[in-house]
Amino acid sequence: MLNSYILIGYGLFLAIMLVVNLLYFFQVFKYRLPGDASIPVLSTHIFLVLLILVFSGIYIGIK
Amino acid sequence: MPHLIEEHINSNDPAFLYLNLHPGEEIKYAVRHHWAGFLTTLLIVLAMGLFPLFLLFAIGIGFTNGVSDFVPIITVLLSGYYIFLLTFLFGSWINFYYDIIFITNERLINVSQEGLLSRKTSELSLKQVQNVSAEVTGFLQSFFNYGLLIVETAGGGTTDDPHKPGLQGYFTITDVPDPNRLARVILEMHRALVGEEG
Repeated sequence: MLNSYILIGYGLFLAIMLVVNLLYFFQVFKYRLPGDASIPVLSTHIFLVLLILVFSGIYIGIK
Repeated sequence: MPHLIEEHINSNDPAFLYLNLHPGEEIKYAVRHHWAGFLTTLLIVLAMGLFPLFLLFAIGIGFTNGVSDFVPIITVLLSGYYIFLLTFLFGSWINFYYDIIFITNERLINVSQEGLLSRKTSELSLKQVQNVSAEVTGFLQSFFNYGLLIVETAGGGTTDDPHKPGLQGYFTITDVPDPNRLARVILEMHRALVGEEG
């Protein structure tokens, strides 16, 4: 069901999202203030994104 | 609201270097927008997150043989959609959370995050303050005690509308926690500065 074009498109989309997220991370580390909520929120964001990537990857791999 | 209005700030921390504080200038207060101001965005993202699940549920009911043949492609689409949604939410949060108002013993500095890698800093000398007013309207603002802070300055304004943020003449800041207290603080600091000179 999943042909290579779909997977290449998905890969490209993920690459763009990675670049956007890296720019946001750069912004967080440049402008965060001591003791603010930046790092907990950033960690939660990374955890959720990885959760989606890992579970969807496993699911696509099985199917 | 100690986490929204910070006092006792170490002005010499390298994190404040970008503010270019004058010699002897000290940050008295660092004020962030009230979290309730982010609720609308959060609710929209939550609704957008639930929408595909309802859609899938409806499609699953509509097709008698189910959607099992399309599961891999649906997984790819859903995964991309939720990653996009999370990135959008994170970006919106940065735009919201990184808007900070610094009240120093000389100036009012409004740092406004305006999207990816775009940041605007506007400042106002406390000596130029003419009037400060606070507006708390609606149920949410009254319940959580946040609202609009309008600082009228001595400079010539480009508009008569105090509700347009960031314009000369009016220094308008939205979703400020405890705006009445901050209005009083700004006026007291203004009077102290003018009194020192007078």
